[in-house]
Amino acid sequence: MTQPDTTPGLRGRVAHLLEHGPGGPADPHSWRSPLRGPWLTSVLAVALLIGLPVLIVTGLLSYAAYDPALGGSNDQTPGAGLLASWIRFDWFTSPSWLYRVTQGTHVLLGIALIPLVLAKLWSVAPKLFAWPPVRSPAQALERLSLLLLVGSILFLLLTGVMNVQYDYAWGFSFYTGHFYAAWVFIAAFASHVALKLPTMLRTLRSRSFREELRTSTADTVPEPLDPYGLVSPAPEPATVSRRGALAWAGGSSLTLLALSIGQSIDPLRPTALLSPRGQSYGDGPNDFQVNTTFREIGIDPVQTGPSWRLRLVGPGDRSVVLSREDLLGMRQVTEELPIACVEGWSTSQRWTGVRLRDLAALVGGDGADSVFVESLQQAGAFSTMSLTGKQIRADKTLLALRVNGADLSLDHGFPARMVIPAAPGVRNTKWVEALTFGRPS
Amino acid sequence: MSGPAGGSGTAARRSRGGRGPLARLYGASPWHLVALLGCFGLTAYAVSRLREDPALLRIALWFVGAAVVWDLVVGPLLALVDRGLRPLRGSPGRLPVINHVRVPALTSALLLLVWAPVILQRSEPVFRTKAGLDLDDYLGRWLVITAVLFVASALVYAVRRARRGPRTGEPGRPPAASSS
Repeated sequence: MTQPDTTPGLRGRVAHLLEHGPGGPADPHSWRSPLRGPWLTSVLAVALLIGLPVLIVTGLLSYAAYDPALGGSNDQTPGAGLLASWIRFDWFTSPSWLYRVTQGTHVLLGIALIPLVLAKLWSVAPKLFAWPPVRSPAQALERLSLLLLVGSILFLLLTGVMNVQYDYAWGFSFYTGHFYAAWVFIAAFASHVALKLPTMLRTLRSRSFREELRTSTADTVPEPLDPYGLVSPAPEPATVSRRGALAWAGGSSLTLLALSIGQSIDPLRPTALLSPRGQSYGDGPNDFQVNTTFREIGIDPVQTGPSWRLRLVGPGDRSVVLSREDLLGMRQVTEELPIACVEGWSTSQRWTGVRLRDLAALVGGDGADSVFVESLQQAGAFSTMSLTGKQIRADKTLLALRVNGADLSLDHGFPARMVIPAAPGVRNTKWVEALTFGRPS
Repeated sequence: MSGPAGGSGTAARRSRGGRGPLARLYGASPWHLVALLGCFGLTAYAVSRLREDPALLRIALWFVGAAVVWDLVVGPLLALVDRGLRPLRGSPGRLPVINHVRVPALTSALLLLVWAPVILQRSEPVFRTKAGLDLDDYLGRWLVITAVLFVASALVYAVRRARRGPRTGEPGRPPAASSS
């Protein structure tokens, strides 16, 4: 506060502090924006109340899309217990664009919601510093839950945004961090909505949205002083209307979306100006997004030459060894299928190869409940991957040998790679050398 | 932002109007407590599943760090910069410039915040080995987008001023969202 402390002594000073607060941001008069108020906060809350549940659902679907019940590298968060067990089901195999849409939505919407989340945080900033910090046990607990809410959403946005840009500065597995923080977020978000929904609805009715959109800066006055401490008791004259502030939040959200959506839609790719996946590789049949180069992973081109063999092992230990010529001699199928990465980018290509179920039949694995796919690659978290029985038998699951009418390039998995409909890109194992079909349970 | 809850305020008022002594002591209705215990219960379970993972400490650090940096560094910094723009608020009767600087500046800062790893080429070595591409262009792209934002905003300002003509008195409006 501005008044000098006239009470001498430590006890007096403590009493004064308790009564008046430490000043600075704890003083409501230091918050000058005439726009802050429950109505503006509630409008932003509505947008987030629609958007954030979509992020939660698409995020959980992405967890299920790895078929974590198969274990191994399919399960990036073993030990998640009840957080995960209920989401485990055989992931879908159609429509083939399913994961492309759910994960594209997850990443694009997550990016587009950033300005709305930040605007919402700005709108309630004075409450972080409110004095006294604790008024009742109820309020203390609620503040703690809000720390979880704010910490988790910022953590999720930060790790998500860094992960899609290949910046792994945190030093922990993205899967671990994003998965567990998501559960903290789900917990804090659900309780926040439960506690605040009535307030939000009541506040929205306090002003007309249309009226607000017609109000110019000159006519913009603060909301009436509120019991929550959002409205400034000492507002400056408005330099921007609520309409202007909301237009910036919505407009910048659309700007982010417009500058990112090209990473998920092939013809629009060059418009994704700031996304690393807005770059083109060229016009050739193999010129599309690569996520692991053969050099990075240490594939020796000699291993992929004429000496390469695919080993098939059936549930009854029957095994067959095939050369690339043998595979090309089998019935070839061509399918248009997307590679859709957990990072949100995707691309659709025409793949030609052998149906996985035809290969399974060679070793009596038609009825297998899973197949263990091994790659020539020795390093990396995803050098092996399992597929479900449903995926083995899906029409569109291929061991691809060619793409867009040409042989696969080394970077795209020559001599042979998996392409699985509706599944995350990382499950489409490249440089396949062995397929082991599991016994039906 | 952790702050006192409006909900608890309302609930507290209600509890004074006839709830039991426990509700009065707690400061809100029992449902308030139930919702929060649910939140802490689920959080505690999630943390307990990770307790033997060495990643837990780092995750917690980034978790708290993100909130602290936003609340205590980025927030005040933005307020400070905006305070620096005060002279642009103009005087009565003149079309203020301030929002024609604020909008492109804030939008450009947002793009930098979101795409910093590629704009600042932090992830260049990883991306080069993973995708076989470089990130040389990205700083330039961001600068061009920033320039376009400022030029568009300046054009909107020029048009608005020309429309108003020499007469004064009518205070300005914020720039339309189309300028971003």
